[in-house]
Amino acid sequence: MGTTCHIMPVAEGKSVQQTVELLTRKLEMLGAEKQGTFCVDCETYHTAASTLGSQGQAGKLMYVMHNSEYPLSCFALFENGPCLVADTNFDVLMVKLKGFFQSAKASKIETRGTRYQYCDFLVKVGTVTMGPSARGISVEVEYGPCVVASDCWSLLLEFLQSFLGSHTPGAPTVFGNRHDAVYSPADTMVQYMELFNKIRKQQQVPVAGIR
Amino acid sequence: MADVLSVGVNLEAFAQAISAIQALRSSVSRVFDCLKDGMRNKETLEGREKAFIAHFQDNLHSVNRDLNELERLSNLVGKPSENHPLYSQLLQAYKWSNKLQYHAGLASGLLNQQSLKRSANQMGVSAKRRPKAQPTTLVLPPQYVDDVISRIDRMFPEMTIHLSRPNGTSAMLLVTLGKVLKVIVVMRSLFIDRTIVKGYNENVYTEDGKLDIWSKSNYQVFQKVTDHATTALLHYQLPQMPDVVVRSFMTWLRSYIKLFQAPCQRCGKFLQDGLPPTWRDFRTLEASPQSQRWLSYVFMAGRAVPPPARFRPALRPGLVNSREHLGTQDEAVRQLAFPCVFTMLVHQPSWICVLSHFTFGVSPCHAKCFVLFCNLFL
Repeated sequence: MGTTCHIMPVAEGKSVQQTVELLTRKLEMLGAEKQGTFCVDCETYHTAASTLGSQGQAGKLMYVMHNSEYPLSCFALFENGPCLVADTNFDVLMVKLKGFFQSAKASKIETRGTRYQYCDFLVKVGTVTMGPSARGISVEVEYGPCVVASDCWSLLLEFLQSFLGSHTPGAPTVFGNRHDAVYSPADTMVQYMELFNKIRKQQQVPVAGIR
Repeated sequence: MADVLSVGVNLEAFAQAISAIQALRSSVSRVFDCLKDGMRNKETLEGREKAFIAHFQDNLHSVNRDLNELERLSNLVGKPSENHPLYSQLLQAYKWSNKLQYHAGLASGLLNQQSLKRSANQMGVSAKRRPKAQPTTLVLPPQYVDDVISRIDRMFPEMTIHLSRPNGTSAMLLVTLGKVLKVIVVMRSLFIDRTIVKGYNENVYTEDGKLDIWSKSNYQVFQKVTDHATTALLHYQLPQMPDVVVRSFMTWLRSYIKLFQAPCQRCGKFLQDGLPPTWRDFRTLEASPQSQRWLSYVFMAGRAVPPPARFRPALRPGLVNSREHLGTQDEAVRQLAFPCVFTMLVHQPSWICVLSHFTFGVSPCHAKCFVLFCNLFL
């Protein structure tokens, strides 16, 4: 478990499938080895109308996520709020809390793809799907040895440039918030949540644009 | 190893035999004390003699008794099985390494006599700089080692050193450098034996809570840094001042605090083959990737200076071969030295540091030390 960063690369004029194939070929040329598959999914819940009562607050959105990298855990987080790391029984608990949190319709979004290992880097290239349609691509790069996020951003950027070319993003917000704190899986899930929200806001696959 | 020794060995009888030896020793020393004290003051000469003889006989009887007891117990204690001659091999290894350190100390004394500087006030300076008398550096009291380590711990704020002695008297240090890495250092008195470098988030303890000194890191970058650390502890060598050695090693290790942040000094890149610049120069502490460090050693070998003719090393009898034999050997060693350096460059990265010390300055004294070194290792 090291430091990870996520990006959403978009290739001009190409479909999702072709971009994924392009990226995986570049990685294999670099010398990375395939090491199985991964899956990250996210379900959205919103606070039930009955709990809002007379206070007139807007309903908060809660995201319940799973990551195949941590198969025994379940992550629950609010948009700008805390992230809870629980075990998989949390899903059963959510069923019991139907009265307070209701699942948003057709909200499940997930990304699936292959994992590649290159030296101490773990790269996961996945297709983001919502229902039956593919909405975009997610690339996650994890650098195992380093646990302080702010230390190795330059290193990660150089690595990203080696196989992404010019489509490299700026530093994720979690890197800026916590300067010397040890990076944790919760930070990874926060980044995934932001990525999924960005993809949800787009209605179709864009023609151009660097995020 | 406990399994090997317990086959045929009665451990309880072993412990009793050890206490029987102590009892025997004390009764023998009582005999000699009695002899030393002589006759006690009594009224008549006969009385004094009788008392003395009776006392002496008592002591001799007790010696006899203890000796019989010891013999009985030693028959009960069996012999360890010789299927795995681990114990005898360990003894040999221990004796060899003690001999090696003794020779290294002598070689260092010889080398210090022959300086390559040509300035005239050499003798005055060296008289002042003679190190203060150290106890035999192989057998140092553990308290002294603890003091040295705690002093070094206080030197650097971002480095913490935790000392423990889980296996006998050799110290094991767990050095934590910021949030970058952890180093396990195994020592023999105040000499560093080996090091293992692991990541900050990796587990350094085994399942039963002891310090794990054998398993390697899971990350390639830290495996590389472990190799470099082993090279460093071969490089920093001073048999008569081991605390200076430990301090230099820790200073070198501290330069890794910016392992992931520092780009290479020469090309400015952060990555080469997926690894950050892991090599830290021994003198300047500059960061560079491993492939670029060979350049510094080749340059140093090219600058070897021949010694002035007036220096003649004092030969210690028995330590090196005869003067005539070495006269021709000098030349041969000189011719062998540089090719050796270059083959070692290619094949054995960690030996380069040891051999390079003997081949830079091609003086007779250096050559003799090279021969000594070869005798010990080859």
